[in-house]
Amino acid sequence: MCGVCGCSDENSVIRNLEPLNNEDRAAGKSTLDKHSFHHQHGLSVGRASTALHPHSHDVGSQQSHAQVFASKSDSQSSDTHNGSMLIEIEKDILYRNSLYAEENRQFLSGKEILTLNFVSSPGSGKTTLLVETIKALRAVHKTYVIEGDQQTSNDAERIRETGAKAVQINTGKGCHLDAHTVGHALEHLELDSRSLLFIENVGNLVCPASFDLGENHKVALLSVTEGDDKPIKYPDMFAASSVMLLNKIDLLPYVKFDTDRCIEYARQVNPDIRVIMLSAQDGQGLPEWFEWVSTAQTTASKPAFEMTSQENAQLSSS
Amino acid sequence: MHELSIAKSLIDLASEYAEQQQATQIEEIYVRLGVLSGMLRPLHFCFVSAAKGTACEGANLDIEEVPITVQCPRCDETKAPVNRYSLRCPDCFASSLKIVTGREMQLVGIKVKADRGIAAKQKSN
Repeated sequence: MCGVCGCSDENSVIRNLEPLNNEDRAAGKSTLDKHSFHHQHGLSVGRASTALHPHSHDVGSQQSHAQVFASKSDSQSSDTHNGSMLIEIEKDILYRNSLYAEENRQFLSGKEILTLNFVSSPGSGKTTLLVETIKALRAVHKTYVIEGDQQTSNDAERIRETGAKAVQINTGKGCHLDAHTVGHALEHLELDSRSLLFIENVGNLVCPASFDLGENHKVALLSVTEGDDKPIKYPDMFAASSVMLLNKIDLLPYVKFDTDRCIEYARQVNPDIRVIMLSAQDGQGLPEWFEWVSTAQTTASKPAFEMTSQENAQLSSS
Repeated sequence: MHELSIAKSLIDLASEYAEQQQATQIEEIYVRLGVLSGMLRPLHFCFVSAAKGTACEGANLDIEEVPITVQCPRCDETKAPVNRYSLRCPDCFASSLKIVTGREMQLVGIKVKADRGIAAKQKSN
């Protein structure tokens, strides 16, 4: 287990939440469906080690890794006579997560679904924003939600009140969602084509930045109560996101928050980031956000091989 | 922090390759980490606990740190940015830079103990 935040994902649980029908509601029924993973998770923790630090912190050794592996002979073994053998691997450490993410992405793009991965600190207003977005767009787009939290299904319950289908993933000690878990959550959703899938990541401005879930865009939420220097304090998250939503702007008169400076910081780490200022609570700025979602959905449902009329015109004129 | 997930992915990947070579003990794990990955200290921190009971237990983690470099569209050159929180060109201060290196989190390779299984395999070749 991680000593910094106690993170581990050995207790992950997926809860499947169907929208309740009126009869169920009257009977006070809940559709919580505890699903323990059938695949292997968690550490295979073996015996306790007596050595506190058996490794050395030899960062920046004299010989680069490329040199180590270049010096070995053509076959996979160079010094078997010493009782050791070098094996060249050259793979991303999160190689497996990337594979699962790519699987999710192909499945979702095959159904022309727009998938948005919402990332932010806890309490920035992700769930409120999702509820308002679902309500506003439900006449046009069917929406599904995957909720990620360490514990409880409170958020999925709130989403379910809108009539949208939601799956709750409880990550236990885990501090982020990964593509594998999301892939299993997708099995519970029976997604319709050309719909919207919102993934609400665990509230955390650090870890979710590194894990591709197979989404079209990461959407970073930042509320004005959090401080305007967050984009440079947590640069990875804002660098990885396509949009920054500045939420709770109705509170601007009461807090010390410089919106211009915040946007400037965000552009420092991500020059292309789109910024939308809004308040999910009182509704200001929401139309601009809804328009962004609808435009992104149109792009997501456009087959990759189909050219726009403009592209066609360019091609024929060249 | 997600260093445990990263450490587990690293250990799984390394162990898988060791197993393919019928090696049961990994001696050295060569990792390439970009400065922007922020994983240098955290990975060391939780690697020992995460490796317990795996082929990586007791292995030495050999980390090569990769500095940040960016491609400046205005100067049309690859350079080191102002600093890691302001990815601007140090010369012309342009900001729309493409990160060239610094995000890496790669397993370069491993060194395994060649046990009898491997020795026999080598001999028969």
